[in-house]
Amino acid sequence: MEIDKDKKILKINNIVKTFGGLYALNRVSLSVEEYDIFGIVGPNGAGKTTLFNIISGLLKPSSGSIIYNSRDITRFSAHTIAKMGIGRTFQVVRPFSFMSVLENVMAAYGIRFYSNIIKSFYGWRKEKYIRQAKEVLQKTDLIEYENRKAETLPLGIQRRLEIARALSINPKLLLLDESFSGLSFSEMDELKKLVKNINKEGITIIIIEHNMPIVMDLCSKVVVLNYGEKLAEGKPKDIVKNPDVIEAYIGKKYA
Amino acid sequence: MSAYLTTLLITVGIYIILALSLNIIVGYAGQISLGHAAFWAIGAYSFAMLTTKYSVSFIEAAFIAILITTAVGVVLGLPSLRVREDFLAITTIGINFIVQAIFNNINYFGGAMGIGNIPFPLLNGKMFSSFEFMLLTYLFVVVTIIISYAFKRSWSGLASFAIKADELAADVSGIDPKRFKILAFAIGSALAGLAGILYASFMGFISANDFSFPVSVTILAMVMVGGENTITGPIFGAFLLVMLPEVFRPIHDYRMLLYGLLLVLMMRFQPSGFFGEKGVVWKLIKIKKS
Repeated sequence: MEIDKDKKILKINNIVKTFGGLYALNRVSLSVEEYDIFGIVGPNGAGKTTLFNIISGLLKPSSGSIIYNSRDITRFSAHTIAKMGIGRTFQVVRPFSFMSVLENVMAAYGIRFYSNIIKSFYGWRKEKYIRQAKEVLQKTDLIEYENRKAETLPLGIQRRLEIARALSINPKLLLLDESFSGLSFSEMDELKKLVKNINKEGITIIIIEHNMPIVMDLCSKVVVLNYGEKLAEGKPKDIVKNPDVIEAYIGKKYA
Repeated sequence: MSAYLTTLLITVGIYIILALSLNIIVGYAGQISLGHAAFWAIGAYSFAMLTTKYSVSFIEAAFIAILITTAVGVVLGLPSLRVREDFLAITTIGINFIVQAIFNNINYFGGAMGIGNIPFPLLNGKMFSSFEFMLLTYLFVVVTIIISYAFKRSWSGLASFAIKADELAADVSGIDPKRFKILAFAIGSALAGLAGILYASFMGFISANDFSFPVSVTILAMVMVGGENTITGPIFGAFLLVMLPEVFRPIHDYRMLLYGLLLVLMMRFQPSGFFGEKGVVWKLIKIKKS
C-alpha cells in the first residue's frame, strides 16, 4: 500500500464550544496527518477532552466543523462516527463494567452486525467471531483476562481493555484520552509499546497526555491548548522550548 | 387436576410471560419500567375488542393484538430515549395511569364496566378445557423462554447489555442506544401483549382495574426478587409472588405490604435477586457441591 504522507485524515476548522458563557474551545483549528501519532497537551481545563468529545460526536460544537477523510462529520451521531472508523478511550475509564473482557470487546466488534436488523439477531458466540475478537485481545495482551469481569480488573488493565474495545471497531483513527495517567512505570512502557504497534498497523492516533517525556517519545506533532485556545503547534522538541507553553504550564514567574 | 390448581398454574404461567418480557426491558436493556401492566392491558383490550366487537377470529385477533401492543410499546418506549433511570421510572408510572384511565373512562372500551364474553380458544370446533388452556399457556411460556434466551445470545442482546452498562461508552463503540432501547421495548411489549391475550381469553372478562399500577410493581418485583438479567430468576419470581398470596390467604389484605417489605429486604441482602449473579441459590448449590 502506498503511503501518502501528506494526506490529512482529520481537519478541525475553527471549533467553538461554549458552556453557558464559558468558552471551552475558542476557534481551535488543527489538522492531523494520516499514520501520525499526534499529541494534544495543555493544563487541566484547557478543553482537550471537550475536543475529543466533539470529534467522537458526544458533543456538538457551537460552531466550526470537523472533516474526517474529506467528509464533514460535525453533526453525525457518536455511533455513526464510530462506524466510520474513529475509536476512543475515556480519561476516567468506562468499560462495560459487569461484562467480561471478551464480552466488552465482542460488544464493540458487533458494530459489523448492529445496523442490519436480521444479522443483529445472530448469535455472537459463533467460533469465528470469537476467534477474531480474541486476536484483538492477543494484540493488547489481555487474553489471560478474557473471562474476568471488567470491573474486577486493575486500572492499567482496564485502560488496555478500553483500547482493545476501541480497536475492535476496526478504527482508522484512535483517540486516547490520558491513557497513561495513573499507571506504573512498567505499565507505561508496555502501553507505549502497544501504541507504537497499533500505529505501525496504519492507525492514526491522537493522544491527550500530560507526561511530556511520553509525548516526546511518541508524537511527531503536538498542539498545546490553553483556556480553550491553541497556544502553540509544532514538533515536540520545539514545543517544550516555547516560552508561551512554559508559561502556561508552570507560570510566568519561572518562565 | 382440580380447577383451583389449573387456574393457579395458568395465572403463574401468564405472570412468567409478563416477568420474562419485563426482564428484556429492565434486565437486558437496563431501562427501568414501572408501567408494564399498561402493555399487558393493551394486549388484553385489543384482543377483547377485536373478538367481541368486531368478531375477528381468535387467531387473527391474537396476531393483530400482538402487533398493536408492539406498536404502542415502541411509541411508549420513546420516552426512554430522552429520560433515564428515576425519571424514566416516573414516566412509565404515568403511562400506566394514563392507559388505565383511558380504558376506564372511555365508553368505547367498555368504561368502568369492562369487557365481557371474551372467547375461549376452540379446538376442532370444541372449546378448550381448562387443562388444555393450561397446556397452551405453558406452550407460550416455553416460547417466551426461547425468545429470552435467543435474545440474550444475539448481537442485539450483547448491544443491550453494553447500553445497560454504559450508554456513552456503547455509543462511541458504534452501538446506537436508540435502536436497541426501542427493540427491547418492542420485544418486551409484544410478549406482554401475548400475556394479555391469554389473560383476556382465560378470564372471559376484563376491566381496567386488572392492570393497575400495583400490578406493574408486582411484575417488577418478580423480576427483581428472582434476579434480573437471568431467565430462571423471573420464572421463580413469578412463581413465588403468585403462590405467596395463596399460601398466605389470611393476610391477603397485607399482600402489598409484604411485597414492599420483600423488595426492601432483597435490595439490602440480595440486590441481584435469588437467581442473580451473587444470589443465595447459587451459593447454596456451591456449598452442597464442595
